[in-house]
Amino acid sequence: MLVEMIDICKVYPPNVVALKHVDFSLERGEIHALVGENGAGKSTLMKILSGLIRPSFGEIRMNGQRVQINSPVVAARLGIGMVHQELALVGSLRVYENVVLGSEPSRFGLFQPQKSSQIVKQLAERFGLNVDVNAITQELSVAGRQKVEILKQLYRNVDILILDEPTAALTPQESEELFDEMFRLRDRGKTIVFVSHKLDEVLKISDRITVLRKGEKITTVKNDGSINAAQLAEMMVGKRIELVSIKTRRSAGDPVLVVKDLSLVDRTNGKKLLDGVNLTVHAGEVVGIAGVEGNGQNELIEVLIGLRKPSSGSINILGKDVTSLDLRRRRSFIAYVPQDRKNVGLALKATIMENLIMTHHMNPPLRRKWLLDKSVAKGLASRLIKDFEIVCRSPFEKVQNLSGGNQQKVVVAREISLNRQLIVLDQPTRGLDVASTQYLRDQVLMLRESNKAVLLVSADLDELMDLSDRIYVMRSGRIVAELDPRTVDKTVVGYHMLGVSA
Amino acid sequence: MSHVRSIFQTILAIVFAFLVAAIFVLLHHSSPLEVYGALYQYGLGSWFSFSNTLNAAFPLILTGLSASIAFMSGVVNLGQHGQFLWGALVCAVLGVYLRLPSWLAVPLLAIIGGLAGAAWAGLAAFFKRRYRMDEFISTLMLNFLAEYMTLYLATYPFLDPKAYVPATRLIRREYFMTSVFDVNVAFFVALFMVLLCWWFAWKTWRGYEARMMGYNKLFATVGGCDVENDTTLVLLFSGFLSGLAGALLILNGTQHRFTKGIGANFGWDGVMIAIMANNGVFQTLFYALFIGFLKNGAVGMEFETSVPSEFVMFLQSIIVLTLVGTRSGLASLTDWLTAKRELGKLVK
Repeated sequence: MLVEMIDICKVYPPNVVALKHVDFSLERGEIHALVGENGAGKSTLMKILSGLIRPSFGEIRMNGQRVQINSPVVAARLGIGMVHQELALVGSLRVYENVVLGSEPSRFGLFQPQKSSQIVKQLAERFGLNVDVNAITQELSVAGRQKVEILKQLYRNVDILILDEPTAALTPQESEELFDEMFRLRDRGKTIVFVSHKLDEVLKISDRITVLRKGEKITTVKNDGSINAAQLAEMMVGKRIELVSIKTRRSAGDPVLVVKDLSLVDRTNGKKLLDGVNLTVHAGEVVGIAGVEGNGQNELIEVLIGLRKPSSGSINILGKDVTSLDLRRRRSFIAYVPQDRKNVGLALKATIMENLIMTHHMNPPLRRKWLLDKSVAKGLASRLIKDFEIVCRSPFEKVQNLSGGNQQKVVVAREISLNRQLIVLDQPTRGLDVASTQYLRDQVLMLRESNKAVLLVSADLDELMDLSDRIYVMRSGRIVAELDPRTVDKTVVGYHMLGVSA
Repeated sequence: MSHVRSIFQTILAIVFAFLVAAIFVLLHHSSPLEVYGALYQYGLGSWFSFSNTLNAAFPLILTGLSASIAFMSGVVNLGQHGQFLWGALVCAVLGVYLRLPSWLAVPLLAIIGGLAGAAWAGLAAFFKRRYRMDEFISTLMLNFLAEYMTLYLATYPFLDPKAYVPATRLIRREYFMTSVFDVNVAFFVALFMVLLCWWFAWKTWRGYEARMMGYNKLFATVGGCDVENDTTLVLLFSGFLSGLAGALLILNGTQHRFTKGIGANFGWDGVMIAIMANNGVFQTLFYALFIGFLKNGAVGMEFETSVPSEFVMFLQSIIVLTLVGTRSGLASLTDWLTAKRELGKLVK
């Protein structure tokens, strides 16, 4: 065995038990998938292996020898490297500079750019990673930057490469390319840990699969056709849950949101972040926005809710021009579930009640002249906790004590109960477990049933295809296609996202 | 439960702080028993000492509240010192020239002093609204301006010709605020402001918005809070509290006039108290009283024992540092112990 992690336990102070007696092993030259829901302990286990955190109990052996991995530096010396979900690269540097950063080839203390570029280029060729080593890093796509991270690890001679949810932000086509590269790495003797919860991908590429659930190891199986996605899902979740969203056919009503020629120019460099965006969302309709991340989706949402002023164009809600209204006034038309619930959607240190009454607090019955009616607030909070099945001890508990799924329910409960005609959802299911995801998807469809207009931005193409009545595809700040998910395939959406013809 | 625990931790931290300080007293070749005996005697031991402690605490309660209310809203008002000085100067000058019946003049002077502080903080609010200037730097810099502007006014236009140091004339004798059983009325005004702050923070919708802003400004903004006006309001209110502290010190202190150095360290003590109190309103009251007790008792320590006044200041810092350190240390210690227990359950 190349690596054995034996009886690993991890308790985060004060009392969060993340791992319970987990055994995990790696053989040389395998792709080992680590699957489990969010919060199952995948990241914790891999952070222990890569030296970011220490286990509370248990031991790690490499080639039979007991090792202490106290820091990422030690892990690197042992040949272990991790590519995190959030890529940590210097955007303004060239690719090869990023790769060698930290251990640059030098002569007489001087950096040797020529030689560095050469070495990195050879490295990329040897492992079949298709990337221009002289490109400026920030001009690369997410997939490209991910390759830079992988190169960075290869340059440091790692034998064990941990990839944490590498396909989360990739199009189907980019994922395929990544898998080819992973195969080539394996064939050249590298060992890869593939952390994921996309079961079809896991079954497609891995040699062995380890399933974690709630901090415990359920099983490790050989991927030799003896197991299928349904069985894996059942092991992951514990009970049979299939993601099904049954969408009834219904005709859309009157337009609720009409966006005309919306543009946004970055004042610092004149770059067009939004370029003549036109879109319409009708009552009783879910409209999806697809696109590779960083193609203007965030800017579109920011301009819609009023965080940024557009350079030109107009926004119309229910026939009223809201372009010049500030965020506070616009909120009486828009419910909004932000992408980043921890930093935008919630105040983590405030209580559940305080989080639930936000925005509601602007109007009666909650607001009475100068005061906030505490009993109305309590009533609203308890009702929402009950209706949205938020698992908590009391409304006065801090939101940071809740699980990710329940935190998201707090945001969604608050926004839906605002009862606005337009609801903007930005990545509503990102990072949620299967049950919470299903719950949220059902909520979206219920909003549609109750004749609300829903604008849904998601990086999860399956989700967009399942929920939307229409899909707009964004690329470089423009809407490049309007598609009907009933008539087009997922890969077609992918082609539009990448800007290559099918 | 969490209340009980935090009170317990505070008590433990105070005890530990005094133990640590005792070591330094020993190093100084004095007897900790004697020193602490004097501290107690002069800080709490009799009604006279106790009322003196309360009287020493009232400006601290107000500057502490000023900092707490600002910090809990995520507004970094560090201008307590300047706001305090303006409150004191305006009150002292008007106290000389204003001619009104005292029942009207005294509250009026206190309020005008508060408004002077609010106006000075309002400058920072204006800069923030108009030029996006961070209040952290503007309030800090305005302290220096206030220091020299008030000193100038007390040295030249309003100088008391009979004074040896830069000072204004004594305010009219009928404007001196009284005391009840030796406790200054100003102390009760400070208590009232504690209640008012609590009411603002926990009962009004502006207070709710302000607290949410303190937790997470982006959350409050996206939630539709009136962030800009909330910030201005908090700055003005915070400035009012500091200005009021200055005015009350003129009306109900010992000097009844503005002199050079009257601001002492009240502003920065307020910031320190807010930090010790974690920006809690009632905690601010508690720690202001605690610091008042130390300050008042320190006079006794200096009086009765051989420790010099510099050493008293040193001890005060040791106590505050140890207290804050121990409190957070205890919190992480309990976390660590809980983690150990959980792990114990797991591995047996």
